[in-house]
Amino acid sequence: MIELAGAESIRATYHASPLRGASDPALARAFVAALLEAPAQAIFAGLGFAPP
Amino acid sequence: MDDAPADPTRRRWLAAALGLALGCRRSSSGRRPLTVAAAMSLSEALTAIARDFEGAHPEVELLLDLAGSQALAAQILAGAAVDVFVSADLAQLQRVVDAGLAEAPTTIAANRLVVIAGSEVALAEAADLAAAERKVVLCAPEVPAGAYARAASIASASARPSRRGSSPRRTTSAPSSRRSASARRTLGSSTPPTSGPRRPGACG
Repeated sequence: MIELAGAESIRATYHASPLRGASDPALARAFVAALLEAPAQAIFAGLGFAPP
Repeated sequence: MDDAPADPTRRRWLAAALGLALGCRRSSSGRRPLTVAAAMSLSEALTAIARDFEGAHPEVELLLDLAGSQALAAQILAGAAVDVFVSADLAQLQRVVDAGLAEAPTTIAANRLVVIAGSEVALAEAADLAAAERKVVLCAPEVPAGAYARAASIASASARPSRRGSSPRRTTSAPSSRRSASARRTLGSSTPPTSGPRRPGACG
């Protein structure tokens, strides 16, 4: 893989939304919160993703 | 592209069919199911995160519905039973938010653009992609990796004029359902290619 100069400003971002019709809205929000927590971020980092 | 008005009766049948399909995937383990619809490019990360989440919430069974973001958004808009939508394609997520079906998105991660090329290909900056006759394969423009790659290509082209005497670059779009084809030499891939067959649809 080659990181090219000139393309640093373009970063793909990933997003998460709980659905309003979720079977358990609190649990859905808890999962989105978990995606922002350290263990999940460590997994993302291990696969080449950066923190938000 | 998939926003054509549909017959209401047909939409109800489609929603029922999708709901039934998702419902059939739910096991009878007795645990509370949490269905996460996510872009195929997140499959490796979310599989590991789901394992951790279930470890912290043993009463929960996390079900991953992995597909292209466009398809997932269409399923949700048609009534599929989903609890969380995760995607790099903010436009698709926004369609679901605008329909009143999802809460405001939270940014959870980001990645950078890379190129995968043969060892004989000398590349240092994005403009080098246009410096010689080479075939560049991008994801389709309607998926995030393809859109970002085109943005990078346009930015580099405007920052530096084409070199005199160079041949025009030939750019082709990889079908979004063929990650293996696009991963070989891709601007905008989020993960390195691995050996063996890849699941289809990962370019989204």
